[in-house]
Amino acid sequence: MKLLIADDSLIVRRAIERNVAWAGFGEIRFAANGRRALEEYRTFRPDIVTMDITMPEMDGLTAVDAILREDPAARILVVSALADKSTAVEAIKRGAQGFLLKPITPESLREAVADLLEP
Amino acid sequence: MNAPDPAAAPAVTPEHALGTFVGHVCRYFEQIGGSRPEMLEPVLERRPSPRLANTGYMAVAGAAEGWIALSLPDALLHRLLADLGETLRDRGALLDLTAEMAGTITSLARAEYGEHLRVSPPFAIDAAAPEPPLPVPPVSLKLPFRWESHEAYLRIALLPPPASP
Repeated sequence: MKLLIADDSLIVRRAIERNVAWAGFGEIRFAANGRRALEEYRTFRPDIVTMDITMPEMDGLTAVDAILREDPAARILVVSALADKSTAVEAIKRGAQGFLLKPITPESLREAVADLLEP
Repeated sequence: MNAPDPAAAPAVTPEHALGTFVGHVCRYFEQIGGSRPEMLEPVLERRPSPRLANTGYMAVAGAAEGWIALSLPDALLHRLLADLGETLRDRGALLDLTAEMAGTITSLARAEYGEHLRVSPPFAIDAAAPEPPLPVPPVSLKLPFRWESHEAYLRIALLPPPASP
């Protein structure tokens, strides 16, 4: 299984990596903005993507759109502090499978990733 | 997503923002560091006091124009990084976490105002860096707090709304 973590914060990328160790991802790659996430998705084809929304160059919602246009089966967990309902609804409407509110805790991340891993 | 109608934007005043931000600062520290900070007396400043070692900024636009800054000492960040299970302690890591905290707290506060308050990606600078090119309001609201004996502050710097015709 492969995981792509897209977040402009190195500390958050490393925190997510540490806290998904239980899931046994064979390979994990990282992207610091939406454009890079899209490029990585094309070559890496991860099983799951965690996607921040507020990122430079290309925001996470635009990247979600772009990835799902190329692969409608992509499984994307949006991880954001943009807590208003419209943002969460927009992410799901665009095809994201989950929405996790920052700041993330090991428990909330575990639950969200476990949901996405369910067949 | 359709662009929000600016005319429908609710007003964002520093006083209202204060209440919103106090709650989100407290919740952030409680969730990540395990305890709430002690909020100290807010201060209106015409000339901003010096920045601490690490300051994270997030520009806001739409319902309010201006920026939010979170200024934190190294020791507080070292403690939070330890709580996160992070081993990095270099300046890059401290600034990264500072920007992430400023961005998270501001974005959470945006829930009060919805899509009418637009936020930009956060950035952080150290104490020696020149002031960032952000609009300077006549006064800003400094919200000091103490967490685990470390003093820090949040600054809310919003431009006054344009005068009605």
